Amino acid sequence: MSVEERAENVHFAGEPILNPPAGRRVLVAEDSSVTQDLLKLVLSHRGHKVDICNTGDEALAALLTRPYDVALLDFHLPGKTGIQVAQAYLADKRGGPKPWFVAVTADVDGLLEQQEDREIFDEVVPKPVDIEEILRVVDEAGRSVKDPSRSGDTNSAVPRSEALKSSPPSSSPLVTALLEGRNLVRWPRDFEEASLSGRSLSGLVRQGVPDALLLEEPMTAEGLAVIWETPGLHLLPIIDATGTFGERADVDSTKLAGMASGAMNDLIEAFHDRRRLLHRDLQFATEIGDKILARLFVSGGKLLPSYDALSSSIVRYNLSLDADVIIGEAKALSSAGLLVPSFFDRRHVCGGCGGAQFNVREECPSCRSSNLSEEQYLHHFKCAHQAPEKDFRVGDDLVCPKCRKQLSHFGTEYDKPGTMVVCNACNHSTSEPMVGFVCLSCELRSDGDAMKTDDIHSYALSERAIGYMRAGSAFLGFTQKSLRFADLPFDLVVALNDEARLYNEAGTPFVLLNISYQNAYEIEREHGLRQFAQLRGQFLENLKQLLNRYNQGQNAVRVVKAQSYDFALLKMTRPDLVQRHIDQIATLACKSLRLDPGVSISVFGPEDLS
Amino acid sequence: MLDAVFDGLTYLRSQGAPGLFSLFWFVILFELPRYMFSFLAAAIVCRPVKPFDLDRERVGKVSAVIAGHNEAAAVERCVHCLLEQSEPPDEIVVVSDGSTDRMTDKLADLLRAGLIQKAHATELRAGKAAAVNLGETLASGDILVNVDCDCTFDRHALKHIVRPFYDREVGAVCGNILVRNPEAGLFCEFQAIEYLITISLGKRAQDIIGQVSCASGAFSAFRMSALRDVGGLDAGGGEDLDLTLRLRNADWGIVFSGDAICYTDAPETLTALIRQRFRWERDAVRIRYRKHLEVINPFSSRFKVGELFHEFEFLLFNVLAAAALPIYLLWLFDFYGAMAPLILLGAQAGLFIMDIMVFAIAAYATPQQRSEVMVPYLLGYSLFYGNFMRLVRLVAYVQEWVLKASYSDPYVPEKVHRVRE
Repeated sequence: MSVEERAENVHFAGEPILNPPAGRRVLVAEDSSVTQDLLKLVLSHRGHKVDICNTGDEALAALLTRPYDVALLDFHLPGKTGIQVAQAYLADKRGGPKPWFVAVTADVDGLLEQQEDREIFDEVVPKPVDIEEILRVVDEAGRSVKDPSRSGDTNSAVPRSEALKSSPPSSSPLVTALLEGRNLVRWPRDFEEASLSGRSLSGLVRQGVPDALLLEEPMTAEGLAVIWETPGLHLLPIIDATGTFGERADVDSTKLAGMASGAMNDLIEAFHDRRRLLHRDLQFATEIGDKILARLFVSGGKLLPSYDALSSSIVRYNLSLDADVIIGEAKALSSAGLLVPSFFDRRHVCGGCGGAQFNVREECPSCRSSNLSEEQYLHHFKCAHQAPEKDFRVGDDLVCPKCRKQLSHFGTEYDKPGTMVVCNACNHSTSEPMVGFVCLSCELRSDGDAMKTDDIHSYALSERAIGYMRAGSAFLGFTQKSLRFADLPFDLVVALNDEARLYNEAGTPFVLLNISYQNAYEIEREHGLRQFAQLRGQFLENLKQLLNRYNQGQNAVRVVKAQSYDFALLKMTRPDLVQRHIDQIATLACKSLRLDPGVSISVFGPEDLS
Repeated sequence: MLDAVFDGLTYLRSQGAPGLFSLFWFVILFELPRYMFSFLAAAIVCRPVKPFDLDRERVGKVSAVIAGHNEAAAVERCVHCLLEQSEPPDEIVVVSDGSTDRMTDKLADLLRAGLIQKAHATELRAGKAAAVNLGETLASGDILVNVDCDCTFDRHALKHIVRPFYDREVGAVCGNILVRNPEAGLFCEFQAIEYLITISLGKRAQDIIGQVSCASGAFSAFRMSALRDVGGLDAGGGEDLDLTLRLRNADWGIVFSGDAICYTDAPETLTALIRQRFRWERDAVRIRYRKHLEVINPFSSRFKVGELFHEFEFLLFNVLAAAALPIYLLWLFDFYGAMAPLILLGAQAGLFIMDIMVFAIAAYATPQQRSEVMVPYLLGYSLFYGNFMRLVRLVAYVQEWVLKASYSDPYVPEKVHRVRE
């Protein structure tokens, strides 16, 4: 399969994009020839016009001489950096139409920390590059460029950040003090301003990750929707300055004592830390299920239900989403093995409207009226007459209606063996009234034993979900023993293409190893990110040496680092041969390590990649 | 031995009619009339019954009332059996009489499933009579079919038991009861034969002459107005006999329907059988000669000539026959000495032949029972019922007369015993 064919596969593997905006002029400034080739291939295949530059100076010259819709600037170019190119362009061409600047960098966090730098770029795409994301960025940029309102050097993201900075401080002095210097998104202020559409909030989140979402007024349904529709907003800690958001907020600042600033900082930092571990697939996820998983991962908590009298579903979760949405999504996610449910309670559900709030009452089995009263049976021993007590009552006395004898001695002449329920509506009497449910939402009446029930669970992320959060959608593919090219690093795709060609032409086999680290999350949590990065680096070094030795020192082993997985490409060997020794090799490679990264290696051959 | 038999036959042949009577007076007085009576019934029985469509308009609304104590296991089968009828009842009312098993829960299930229309559970046991009375006050039908929990029914039983109510004079219809478990043991086989002869055939004969005296509590139907007329059941036991007698006294017609067949389990052991018969016979004596004595007292205002026949029948064939048997035996041995066993053998042989004939007629009249398999048990039945069960009866009468034993029967709750008549 050629690179072109693969690119086509990638295209179709992703969500089909209707009417892709064709003919955008794209400048790619990139020093890696492999990446140049692939970007050119993929973008021109989609109908865009692509120019390639190797250095920053070339890029600046190209930008100043020809109009571009999109400029994909590598951050580390020979000569000028991407930032310098953009700055120089803006300094030179003040006022004219400006291309959509996209930074392509491995150091996203580094870039985002530089306030003035990130304001230059309209968007940041992390490295290694995801083909689908590049396509999306170029497509969307194309749309914005066509927007006539977008002229001059203003863009929605930059003023958004300024708006944030100039936001007046929160009304609560304590919160103000605690959040001093923090970059906050504030409800409702930042949501209301006309200039701030959902899209610009999105831009804001892309540009510089805010520290928290601060509720200054009670959240409305509309606000909830915006949180979940704007990429990244749902991953912020929610600080509730109103005291109305309950357990759905991460902190209720009205209940914080003065000394709590440490706790507040810890919370915000914990969110930042975990967000860094979150794969970008999940950071910009569009599926609500993925968003919920990402939120749980970033908040480090569980999905916990509690009773809510105000909700027709009678529960709410500690998430700023409608409980019914959460329940539906969580069920799907737990059947996919991503959430681990544990029983909370069973509720009854209305067959008409799905509501769960009912008036539960005893009813007449005949006419379903709840207008019931209790009456006692009376049993006259001597004549065996047994009937409701009212049949025996004559004024103050009890007289048997059958034998007309007056009953005066309880226990000797008569007793009361039980009670009878009499319906005041239809006069039916029974000792077994039925249980009926009346839905408070739609007033549908149902028999108690015909009611549907539904179990409410709390949910925790499964190991599989944690893997998914860290490795992105590729994780699910790998666990199913299949590979998607879109998930692989560019370098690897190119190398694999070469190998595939050799295999097709000369039958030379090759092996791709997919290396995952089961204990990565635990090690990072306990020992920190650096520690794990070192461990991983050392392991790969060991592995490379061992593989080289295994491959008779032909130096035909190529190790490629990716975000959550690493890969190793072994030339001129067969997967079955490698499979036989790989566990032993992995064990050897781990031997000298201080901690066990929990290495798991999947072996793929040419057939698996066809 | 053979010589002795031939001697005996020669002796019998030499006797004239007075001589034979003096030998077999017991059989001639207490057995022959009964068999004759059965033959009379047989002469009128005609088979097969023509199929018919029930005119429900003429019958009115039919309520089935089931009353039981701790019948969680049986009640569901009984209800299903009623619903399986070719003419099911319009409503089913079930009363749990102070059950301590899961009968109440079972009733709630049946009610929820819509299989029964009314269900009541009392917390204290009140006795069968009071439970049925409660069921009666709850039932809304014109005809009340009273069934025992452990009964199951022929598909057309209900259709046949309500049909006689076409006649407005009829106050109660007694169903035909057969033994469901004849194969469960020797005594069950005997009882199956007994039920076939005394109920299927015997009550048919009573019906012909308008003398049905007990509409069985296991399966009978009542006209609600008749029931209200006499105030329902009185405190038990033997409440079914008591009610029938009171209905008769109130001039309601009592009818037997041989095709309204219900099946019940007979007691399997001899002890259980004896205990059951003690209870039945004691209750019969108590009700007939304590509670309803006035009916046969010519000096009472309640005296009724029409009731003399069945009262006389009971007195003669049940009470006197049981009392006379030991006397007959003593007399026979005293008078004839060594000849006595031979005479008894001869009498027994004659009775056995008549039993075979009666059984054949009964089997013909009730084709629903598989009678042919019972044939091998006929001889045993003849001996067992002709002698042993008569003694059981005698003991029961003595118990009741002397000890008033029916007043401590556990069939009725203690609280009721203390106050009832």
